[in-house]
Amino acid sequence: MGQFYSLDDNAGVRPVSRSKHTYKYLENEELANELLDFREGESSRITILLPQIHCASCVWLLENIHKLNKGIISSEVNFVNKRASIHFKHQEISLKELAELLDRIGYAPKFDSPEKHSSKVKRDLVLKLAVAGFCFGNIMLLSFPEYLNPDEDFVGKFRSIFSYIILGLSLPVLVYSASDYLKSAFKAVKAKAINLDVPISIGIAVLYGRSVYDIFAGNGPGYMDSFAGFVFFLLIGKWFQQKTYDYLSFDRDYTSYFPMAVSRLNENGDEEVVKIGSINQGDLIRIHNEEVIPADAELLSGDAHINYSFVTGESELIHKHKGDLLFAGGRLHGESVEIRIKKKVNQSYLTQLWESAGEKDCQKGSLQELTDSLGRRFTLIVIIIAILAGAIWYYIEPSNVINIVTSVLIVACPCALALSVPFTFGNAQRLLGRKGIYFKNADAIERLAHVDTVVFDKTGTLSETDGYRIRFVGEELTNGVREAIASLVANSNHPLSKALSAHFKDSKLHNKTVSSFREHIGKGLSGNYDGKHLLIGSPEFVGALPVDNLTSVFISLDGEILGHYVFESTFRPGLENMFNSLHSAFDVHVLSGDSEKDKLAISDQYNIANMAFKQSPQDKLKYIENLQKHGKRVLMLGDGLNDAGALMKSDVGISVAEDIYNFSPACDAIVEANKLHSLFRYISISKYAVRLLKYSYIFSLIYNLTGLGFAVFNLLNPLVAAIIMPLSSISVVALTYLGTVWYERRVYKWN
Amino acid sequence: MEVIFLLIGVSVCLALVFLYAFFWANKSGQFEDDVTPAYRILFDDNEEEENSSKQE
Repeated sequence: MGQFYSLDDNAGVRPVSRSKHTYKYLENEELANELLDFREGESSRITILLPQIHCASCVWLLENIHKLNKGIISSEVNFVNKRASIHFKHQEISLKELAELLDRIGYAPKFDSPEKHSSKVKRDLVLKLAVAGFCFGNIMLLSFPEYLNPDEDFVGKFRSIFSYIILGLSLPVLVYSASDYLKSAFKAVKAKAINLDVPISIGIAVLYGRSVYDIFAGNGPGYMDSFAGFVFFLLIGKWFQQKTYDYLSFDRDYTSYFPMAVSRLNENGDEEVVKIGSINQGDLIRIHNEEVIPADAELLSGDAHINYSFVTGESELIHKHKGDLLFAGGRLHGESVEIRIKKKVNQSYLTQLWESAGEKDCQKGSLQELTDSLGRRFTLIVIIIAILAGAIWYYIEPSNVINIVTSVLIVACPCALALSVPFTFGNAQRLLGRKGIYFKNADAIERLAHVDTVVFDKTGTLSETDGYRIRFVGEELTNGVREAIASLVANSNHPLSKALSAHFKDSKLHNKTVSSFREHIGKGLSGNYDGKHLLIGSPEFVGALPVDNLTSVFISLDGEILGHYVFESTFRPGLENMFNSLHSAFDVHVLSGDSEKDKLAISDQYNIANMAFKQSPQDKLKYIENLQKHGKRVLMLGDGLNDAGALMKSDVGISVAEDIYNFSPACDAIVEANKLHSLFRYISISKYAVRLLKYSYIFSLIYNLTGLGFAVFNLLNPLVAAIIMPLSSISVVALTYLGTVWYERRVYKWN
Repeated sequence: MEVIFLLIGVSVCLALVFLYAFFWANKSGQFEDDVTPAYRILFDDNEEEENSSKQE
């Protein structure tokens, strides 16, 4: 094991283990088989997402996992995807045991996203790019004699044979590499909608047709070098876009929060593990401690205490009685309960909320629209110019008309224009990624630049998820009592107990043994200390008067109330500056699912006038809708499913995550929680990106106009085309890249 | 100068071989993960050997 620690300084930083996860559902044969890559004879292979992989030593540990269990034959880690492919003998180690083993060594596996995405599309693109590059290089080489004086003997000798070799080389570029553009343009024309692929395809077709004509007419290889180069550059743009997307992809949806299987009770009252998709309305389900309620259901047995922090952001337990309706998404604390499913999983409250707002995905991004409308206008103008130039030349020199018209169509091909979007936003997306915010697509960056209203969710966004500032109200406690409290709360899993326990950890108390510990779920804790009866918990439990609008825990010793602890949420550092800069340009709102307990703290500290409390997820969604009705473009920041509807509804929804690999609901971007204070800068970057895009549009239009100048005066020979076209593409790529780098260096010297 | 035909033929064929090699490498997944192999090369193949050499 010595090697384990010598490989990386980060080794031994034990990834968070969530041992409370039960993997019982993996016992279900059908489900387990779905997860496997294959099963053959004695051995099986599975590819599992292990989000905790973070260093070289993780790779070493996971690839040597066969030393920990004989049932494992081998394993291979893909660090980039954070996946491990494990080959094991399923008779010696079951999938469940494997999962538990991984969890035990600190890599809680995630089975929820079996590798559906095939990398075939990506590989195809690389192959197309390779073919285009290969042909481009060879065609350039063979065209070289053309650039010299073609009438010289030396050149003339090889001219026709070179032309035919070039023709052969250009064929795969047309039918293979450029096929996507041609197909897309064909589809667009068929649907009577012109996109940017149409002028591109016109350019490609004319370029190719004209060159083929030149070759057969014995005029040399025509514009084949420009043609191949053109396709090559277009594909580079596409590839870059894909690369950026891969680098930042984090597709995981809300279903990853729900369990994959639950224990259903059959007629005989026996438990059987079934897949979550196969539970129906009316089924009896048993939920164990720490399990999630998969669908809206009725509580059948006794009382239940449910943590809805995932839904409402409120971490205090909610007490439900027999017969109450339980909403999906709550986590049970305490003894197991039986429930009867009221709605199918896909009809439950949360998923409905999710889907009602999910339409944004279907709409085309405004960026795509912009490009398409640009493409439409462009096509129209180019065709008009081509006709005009042809008509004028008809009077000057009729034999040149075809020449002129094709030249115009060739040179007007908007290659640089097509590269502007992927490169500008790709670079911006990467820059933002380096600074701690991850965008799912480029459109969102463009939308972010036009935002005028910012809405924050409070819990988990402005305030830290489990950070509390704790103070004691009452006469100071003796060390003995405090020690007793510390050891009592150490035994409990309640969120407030955990917070209190963490609070005591700092003050280095010795653990006192407290006898007859009992946890009264939803009420508090009790125990005996020094022969006295110690109670910790809610005012009703202890017998004290409740305090308004404060989360507090009361202490009593032998019936005498000693005082209470007050829990105040702590806000993330650096927010004050962020709000100050935001106030200058945006309308700022704060929403909260909580009671008004933090109202004063927020309004005083951050100078926020617009606040709304006790907002259910539905209320938040309506709040956003209302703002949008008044013509606002809304940026929403939230932390999870409880504001998922609002995040989806808003123009840009950013989710704030402590751990970007852990859970990310569908939103436009994810920001690391400790980078939230740079929000204003992120918006500035997006604005800059939009400005840069405009510059590169202007730039590429200038190139096209210059080219058109050459074309209409019949000066566009293959040499000129071979220089102008790649130059325009390269300069757009350089402009967007250097522009981004310059912005990062000069304006933001952070990091 | 006729040798130039031969040379061009040879060079294109050679280039095609490389293109094929790239196709093969891409298909066999060599570009799927370009980080892990760099780590993996640091690991010793055989732990027993490592232990015995330490004892000496």
